[in-house]
Amino acid sequence: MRFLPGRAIALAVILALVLLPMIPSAAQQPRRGGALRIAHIGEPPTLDQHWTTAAITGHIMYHVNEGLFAVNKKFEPKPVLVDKWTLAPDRLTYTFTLRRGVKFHNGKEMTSEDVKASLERWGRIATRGRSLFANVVSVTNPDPLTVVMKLREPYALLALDLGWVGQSAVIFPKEVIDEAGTGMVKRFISTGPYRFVEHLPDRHIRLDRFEGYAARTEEPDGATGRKHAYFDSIYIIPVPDAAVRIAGVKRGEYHFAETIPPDEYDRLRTDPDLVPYITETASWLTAVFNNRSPLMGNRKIRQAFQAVLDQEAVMRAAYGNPRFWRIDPGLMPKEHYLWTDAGKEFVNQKNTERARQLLAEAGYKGEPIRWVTTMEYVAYGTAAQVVKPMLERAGFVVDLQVVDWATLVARRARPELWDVFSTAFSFVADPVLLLSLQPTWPGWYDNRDMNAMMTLMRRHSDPKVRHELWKRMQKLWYEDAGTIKFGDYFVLHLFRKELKGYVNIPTHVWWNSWLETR
Amino acid sequence: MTGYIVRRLIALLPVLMIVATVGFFLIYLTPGDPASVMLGPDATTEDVANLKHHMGLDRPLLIQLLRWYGRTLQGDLGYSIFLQRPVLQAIFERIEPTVMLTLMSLTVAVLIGIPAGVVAAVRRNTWVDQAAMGVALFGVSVPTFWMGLNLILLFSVYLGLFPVAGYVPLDQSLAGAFRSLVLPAFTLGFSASALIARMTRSSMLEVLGQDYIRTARSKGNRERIVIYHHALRNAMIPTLTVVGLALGGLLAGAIVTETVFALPGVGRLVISSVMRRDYPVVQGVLIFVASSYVMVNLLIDVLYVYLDPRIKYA
Repeated sequence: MRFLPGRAIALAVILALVLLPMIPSAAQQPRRGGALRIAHIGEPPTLDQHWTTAAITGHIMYHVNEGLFAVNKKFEPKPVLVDKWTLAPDRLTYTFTLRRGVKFHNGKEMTSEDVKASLERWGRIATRGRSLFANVVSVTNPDPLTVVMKLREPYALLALDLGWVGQSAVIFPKEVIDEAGTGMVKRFISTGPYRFVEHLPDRHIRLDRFEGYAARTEEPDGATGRKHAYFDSIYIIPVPDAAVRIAGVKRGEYHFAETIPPDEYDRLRTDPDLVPYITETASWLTAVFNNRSPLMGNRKIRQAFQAVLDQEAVMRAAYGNPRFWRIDPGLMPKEHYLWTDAGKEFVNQKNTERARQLLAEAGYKGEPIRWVTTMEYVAYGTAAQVVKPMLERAGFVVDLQVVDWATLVARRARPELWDVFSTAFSFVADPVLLLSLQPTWPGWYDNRDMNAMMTLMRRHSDPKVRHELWKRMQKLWYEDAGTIKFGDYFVLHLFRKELKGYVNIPTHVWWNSWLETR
Repeated sequence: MTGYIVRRLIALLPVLMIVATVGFFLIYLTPGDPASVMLGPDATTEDVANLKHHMGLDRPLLIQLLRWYGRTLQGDLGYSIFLQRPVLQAIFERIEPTVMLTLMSLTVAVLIGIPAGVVAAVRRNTWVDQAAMGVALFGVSVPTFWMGLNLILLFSVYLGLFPVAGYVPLDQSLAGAFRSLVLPAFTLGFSASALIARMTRSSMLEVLGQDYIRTARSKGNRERIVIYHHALRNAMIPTLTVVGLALGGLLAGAIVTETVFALPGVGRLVISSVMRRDYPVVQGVLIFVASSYVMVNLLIDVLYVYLDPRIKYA
């Protein structure tokens, strides 16, 4: 065939016409401006991120505060305020070089003094911080851009601990920390892309764009990389009633609504203006055993409890639509590199006979199992109500105590008051952080072998070694019936279609998202 | 009259004392504490115990009670643990939506309740009477949160007439404040109107049977004058009592309504403070609400004198 330039050109034109619409159009370009309105479930207990483990404080203040590290999509720690860092060959001395020219919201430039003061305060008051700082010999700042941390023993997860979202090791100016004394910080100043403007309780929390923000240059990835503040302001509005949060998003009064009942999913999906968003990180629904109580301290009774469960029935009752839950033996979620199904034979056994036998061997004489639960988080209470008859069929006597959340939290601190309590564990990036494996956390699961393996887990950074170790730990945990994992669940959020660029790894990230004009 | 009011105000003190004491024990004896709420669900037992000690919540109850009496007598309602400001300031920051909501609901309640009661009494045992009383029965029976959600669905989501929730302060926009309160005020006012309608009806019926009404009619007064001038004024005394009671009920109903409509009022403050075990705020609001309740009753008693000159307080 002869070469026909005319035909080639025509072909090129046609190709261009077909392909052009596939290139992201101008509408997909981020747009600066506007105010994002978020309907949240309630009020944060405090805005001081060093103080509280409450998720809601993190949701909000993560946009204001920054730490030395944060985690990316794969939950790996990446530097945020740190420029470069080195670990000495003895694996005990960390040297962090801070980024130059990072400004606090009050205009002052961040120095190593601020970092030292912040890390030390976090190590004094945060739960995670205290456990890390038990292993810290010193924090020094030889020059304004360098912070040196010396450890007693090698610890593989230092950067992850410093960058984790819950009760985060965020950096405040030194004067803010001095001002706080032994109490909470009084001014909410850090280096994030949004700055704190006001908190009118039960009305709103307002954040504004921080014009002096020094962004990183890497591509955005999870909570790391480049951060752009496209909104002029973000309003976080407490709206306690879920039905009202939905109505508000439908009506366009809010752009985003936190935590929507999964039952609404099918109905909301059909609305062209709305995007129902299912979180990608799983949390797990659990019943925690009191290992210090005479009853649940008995391994056989715990195993009987585990044997009797029909976990699918529990999860279906608690979360409905199977899009929102799964039965999975992994204590680390399926998406995590350490996932394993070790011990899966103990999951979803539905074995009433075995339970009866175990109870007989344990010498159980019908003493009531005091199970403290709450309807404040409906799934917790529902699960307990579904499990109760399962247990009773095997011969358990169950004293179900439904209380409000604050009561539950107070009661669980006192081992003499309870045998089982309901709660949920949110996603953590490493088994070392799993609450159900901490001998210090209510439940007090304390197994010598497990603790020894935990120590190894803390020291080793080789993924292969860790995976082997973790398989054994998970298996032991199931054999021991340390705590019950009913199943993984996912949370539903709702937003309007004009909100673009929103990601939820590992928590809400509203920087880099924008409002498209309609 | 002045002497009477002063005596009533002095009598207020023991009432407040009782309310304060009961309130103190109710909230302190409720399990749960502000420290564990503040530290969040993942905190260790040890951390919570440390913070409780820091807050002075591990001291004997009696000591805490006495300290609190001491402060309250000096007019100091204490300092909110969570809001980080004096309780009195926290209450006053929240008072505007609650007062506005209460006044608007009371207006709705009176505007629906009194005419409905009058009409029902005048057209006794007709379909009008039955319809009015049927609606009234519906009003008292329906839970306010359910009613609120349905109103939101109809008027906000489908018709787009009013905002879904939230409050616009008066100093920002008068119309905005009004618009944000229409649905909650109707929700609350409607249920209160039922009570008023029933009371108006029965006291109207009683008055309409009196001799002076027959006299008024026989003098050739028009029926409208007889009913609104002669009968209604005399039927107002029991109605007014009910209006006063309804006002107390509105304050209580505001707690639910403010939560549904996300209004930043005193009712919402109570709910969140109880949940967080913010002791000083709960106690402060209790005293505050109890005193306003007593004051409203006093006001109603004083109003009697203007409605019925035969009533005299010595």
